[in-house]
Amino acid sequence: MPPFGALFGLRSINDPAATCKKARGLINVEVRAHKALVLNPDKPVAKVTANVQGPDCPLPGVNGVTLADGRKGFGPYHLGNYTVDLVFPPDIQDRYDLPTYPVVPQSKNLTGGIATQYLFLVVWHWITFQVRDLANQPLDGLDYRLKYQAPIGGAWNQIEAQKVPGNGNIEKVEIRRGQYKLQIPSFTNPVWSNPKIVVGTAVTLTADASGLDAGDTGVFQILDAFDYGAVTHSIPATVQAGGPGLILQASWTPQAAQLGALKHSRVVFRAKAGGAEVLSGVATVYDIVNVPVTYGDGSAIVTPVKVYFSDGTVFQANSGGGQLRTEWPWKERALRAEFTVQHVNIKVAGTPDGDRLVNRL
Amino acid sequence: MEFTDQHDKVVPAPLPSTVQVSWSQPRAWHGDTVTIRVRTSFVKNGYNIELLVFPDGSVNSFDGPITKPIQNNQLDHQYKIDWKGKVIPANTNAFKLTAKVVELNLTSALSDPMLVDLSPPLFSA
Repeated sequence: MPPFGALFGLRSINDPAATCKKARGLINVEVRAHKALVLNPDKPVAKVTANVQGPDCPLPGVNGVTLADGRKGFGPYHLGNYTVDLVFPPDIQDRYDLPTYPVVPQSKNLTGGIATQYLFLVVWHWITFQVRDLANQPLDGLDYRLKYQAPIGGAWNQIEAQKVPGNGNIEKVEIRRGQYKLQIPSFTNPVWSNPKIVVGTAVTLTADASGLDAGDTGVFQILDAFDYGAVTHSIPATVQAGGPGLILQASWTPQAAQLGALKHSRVVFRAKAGGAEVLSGVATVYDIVNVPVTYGDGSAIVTPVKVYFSDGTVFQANSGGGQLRTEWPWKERALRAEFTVQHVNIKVAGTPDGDRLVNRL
Repeated sequence: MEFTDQHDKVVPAPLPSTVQVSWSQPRAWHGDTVTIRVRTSFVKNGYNIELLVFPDGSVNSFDGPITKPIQNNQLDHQYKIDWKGKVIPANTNAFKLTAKVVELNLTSALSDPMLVDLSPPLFSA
């Protein structure tokens, strides 16, 4: 338990060194930061070590660290000239442009009975990304990632993942010196490896990716080409290196069971990841159907055959062994077939004449 | 898209917009109502989309512009095929679309065609 008087900063009147409090002063150090040449807005700077030297603070002086409000008080000290200098700790010093705008120690004579202000203004590092459309209007609400790389290079570290604010400006202040990378996910160039998709045969789906990172997960959705709300099948995918940059890619071997909800042969895919998506062009799904091509007595017809389907596609091939290996558009109907060499026409299911396989003319 | 620069910079981040347009069905009858679907990327809400209808193979539109605002990068416009007063090249039965983002002067590629039977059907004997 300290002496009673010590609790209130009092000294004994019997102490020959006692000094009237009015003959002493306080030191109030305040550190604030702002953008170069722009004083407002500004922010307090915490964790800065203030070093005070003066009559009551002989070398090496008295140290204190600024608080959240950027301030640190010292004293009371006997009057005299006191010098305050700042030391920025390593973990924050590169947030301020101290080489260009160095902190200069301040020396002032204390005034008795009041606090003498030592205000230090430092300049922070900043960066602003202006997200705009082609008409230079702000775009907002987009997912973005902000990454940092030290001036000496090395790895990029993500420091933020947010949505672009309403004014389209991503503004960061009191940031560390170095490189900053803004990533806004997007996809371009969605392509099927083959626009003819055959049930049971693998096809590759690819979209060029930007603003994403290798290892990001995404998905390819197979959609009804005429109803984007109808997802026929989904294929997980991962962003990976490919071409000059990154791609989202997956291999898909369509199965009949995956296409059950599809009402016709036309599909598109939607590539999605990280808030970005893109639609591919239309592709046609085919099934391989072996259609008997025979005379009434069952003997094989060997002939070029042309088959017209309800989606407008035309399939042409040669029959052999009594069969025609037909690339049949998914869930479409064969409307007509032509045996071009032997001048034979057939009509397949659904015609007004009934379901006759071959009708020799 | 990626944009990189160092501290103490204003970094422009222009995003390239895209626009796609398609019919909601591959074929239709005259008088049907179909959906024209527009999908965009990096287009602001409220920007206007101009739709034009072309005979397949022609650079001259015969219907439109139909102007509608876009929201959330998509527009589904209900379109009635009512071309009685339109001048359409003879024997045309395939029709395509374009969509233009007016404020960006950005026009889509031609859509895939939609087949519309405009001629009286011919029946075999």
